Amino acid sequence: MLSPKIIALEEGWNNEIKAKAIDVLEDMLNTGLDKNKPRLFDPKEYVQTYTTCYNMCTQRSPYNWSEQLYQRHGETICDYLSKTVLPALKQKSGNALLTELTVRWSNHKIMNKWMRLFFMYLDRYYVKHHSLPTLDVAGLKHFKTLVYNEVKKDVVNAMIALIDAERDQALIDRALVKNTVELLEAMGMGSLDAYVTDFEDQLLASTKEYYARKSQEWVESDDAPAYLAKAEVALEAEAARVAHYLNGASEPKLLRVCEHEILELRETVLLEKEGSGCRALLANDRKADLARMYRLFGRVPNTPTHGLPPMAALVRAHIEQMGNDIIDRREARLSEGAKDSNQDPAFVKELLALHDKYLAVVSEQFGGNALFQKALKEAFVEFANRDVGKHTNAELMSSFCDRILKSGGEKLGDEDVEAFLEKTVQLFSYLTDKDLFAEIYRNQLAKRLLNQRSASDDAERLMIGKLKLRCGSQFTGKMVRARRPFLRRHRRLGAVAATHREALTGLKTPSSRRLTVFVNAGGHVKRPRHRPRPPGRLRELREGRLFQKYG
Amino acid sequence: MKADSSRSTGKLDFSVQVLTTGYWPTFASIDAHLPPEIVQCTKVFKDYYDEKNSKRRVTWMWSLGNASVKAFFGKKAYDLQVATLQAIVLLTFNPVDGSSQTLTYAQVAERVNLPDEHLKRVLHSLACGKYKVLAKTPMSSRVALTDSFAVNTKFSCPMRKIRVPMASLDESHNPKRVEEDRTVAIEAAVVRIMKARKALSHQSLLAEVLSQLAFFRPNPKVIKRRIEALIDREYLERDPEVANAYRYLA
Repeated sequence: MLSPKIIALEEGWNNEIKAKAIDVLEDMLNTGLDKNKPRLFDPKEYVQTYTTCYNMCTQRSPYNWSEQLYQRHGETICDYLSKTVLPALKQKSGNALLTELTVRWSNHKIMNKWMRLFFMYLDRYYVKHHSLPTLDVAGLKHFKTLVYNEVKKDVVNAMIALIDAERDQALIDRALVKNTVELLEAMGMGSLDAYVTDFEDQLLASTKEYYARKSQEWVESDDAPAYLAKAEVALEAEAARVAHYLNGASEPKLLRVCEHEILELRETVLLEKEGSGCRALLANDRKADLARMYRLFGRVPNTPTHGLPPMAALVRAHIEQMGNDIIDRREARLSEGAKDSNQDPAFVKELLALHDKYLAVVSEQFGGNALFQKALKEAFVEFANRDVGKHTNAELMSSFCDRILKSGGEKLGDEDVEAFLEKTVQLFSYLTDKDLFAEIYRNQLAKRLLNQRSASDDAERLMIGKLKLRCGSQFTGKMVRARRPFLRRHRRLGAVAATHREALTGLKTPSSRRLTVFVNAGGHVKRPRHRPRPPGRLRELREGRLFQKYG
Repeated sequence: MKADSSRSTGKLDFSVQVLTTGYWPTFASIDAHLPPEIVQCTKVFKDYYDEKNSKRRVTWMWSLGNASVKAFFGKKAYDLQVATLQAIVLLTFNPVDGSSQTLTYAQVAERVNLPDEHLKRVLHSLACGKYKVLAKTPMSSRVALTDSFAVNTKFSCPMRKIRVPMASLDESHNPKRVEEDRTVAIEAAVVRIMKARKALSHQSLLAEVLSQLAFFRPNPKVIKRRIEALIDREYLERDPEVANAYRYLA
């Protein structure tokens, strides 16, 4: 077998590799790429170069040129970068710099790719044996040290200038920033270090500075809702910015900086702003603005002075004031000589309406947040237990229920009755003297049952059910048991009444008086084993006995 | 108001509602003098009830009942829907030997034996309300102990069935009872907690009691008094070694 001709280093390099591949490549990069050509090199041209390289690397020592070729691969790239690329970049600044850099970077990617392909055989053995950086990585490293490190400061400044311009509503070339960000990401060599230290830190600092300035302007010129509307737009814009051209990992950091500057630092001022702060919004029912305020301050981490807690405290104070106003009005009415009766439906309805209103605000505008539910509860506990006049609020509420449940009271439809009862029970849950309410309610229930003034059996059951749900069966046991005989009686009443009428018509006696007697006695009544006959003369007692039987 | 003496022994519609004491609020029992017709009815019912339930005691709550009284004013008859107490008072005005009677307040009071506070309200409802079935001399809107009453023969009303309302006799609730219930609830909570913990300081006992009592919020002083009462009754003792602490005595 004929051994192949030994290729000398300079011969192979100058005649083959440099002349036919590298010079051609550099030339193409300098003059601009031919868009119509799908590949820069035909397979034929490329294979030739590769083969030369292969041969030079596989010759026996001392003619093995692997080391030299690896070095020259690096030198070639370095030469090109420092002699052609860097000077081109150095002349430019601002936008032009970014444009130039983008072009140069994409060129470098192409160059690096082809250089790797030409010297591919090095990667296979020489690089592995000597644990050297692969050709690809070496190429990137050269770019980083020779170009990137030289221009990065200007580049980052140019980028930040662009971003700031966009914040001020200018139209910018987003692709330009996006490509530069890609370069920054690549410069991290597999990590985001370069992106973070060289760019992101500065971006965050500039963002902080930008929004510190902006928020100061807004806070001076706008009222709280307008400020918050702008803040929301700005935050959305920042999120969109990240999505459009920054690295996704920046989003939380960037937004955090914005939130800190726009919201956290201005929170106290905004919440307490004269005429447009949180309490003014509540007073004027600015629901959309309240919802926005909740959304925005919900993004700030909760501490006693920041985030939602201070807002919840203001909501609580507002509700408390509204409630105390209602109580004060009642006090004023009483001191003006209004009758202090245990019936004050207008007052109870006012409280119910207040509760309704803020319950809706908490659940809709404040997303049912626990902090606000607590604020609502605490506010109501505060004034619902403030009794004025002779009758406690528990008594007024119980009497209100009595009115609703009594026939000839409020005369409401079934649904209204249910709604009012539900609301009253909600209000009831804020009372501390629940046992007092129960006692009064029980007395009133007894009256309704005994006088047959109860408008609807279903409504009575519903109300007791609601109380039971809140306070347990121990709380309502006596009410349920007091009602029980009446329930059975009602169920059987038809039959009993019919029997009784028959008995009366059979008697045909003139009856001048009718007497109804209620008996209070202890214990349940059982069905007797043998039925004693009532004395014949007083047959009217039958009904009494029948009630006994079913009671 | 005219009632035939033969009719006065006539039949009554009579129905009874038995209320179990524990389940119902406590009502004040009024010891009234009843007309013989009603006494007879109650006696029959009581005999019957005692026969059936020998261990139960029947107490009559006249203040809770209702009655429908047929009354004649001249030729016209009315059904008066009244409370039992009102009916009892009305029945005393039944004519004796065909002639209507005029009774002084003192006479009425003697016959029905109602306490003044109740009787005044009853008479007020009958003589000064919207339907003046009794005539009061002198006419005024308040009942005085010196007034006298008679059936208002001139009474007339387009409706046959009339409900004569009366102001409620008792308060909506008894504050003392609420107080008593609270006392029991606090003591029960203290004993429950101490039984579980055996020994506890005053402060933590207070805190636990407050957290257990869901239906009201007692004053710490009241709790302290209850604890002292329990110590007196030897449920608890003061810890001899630790100040301000208690021990449970099994």
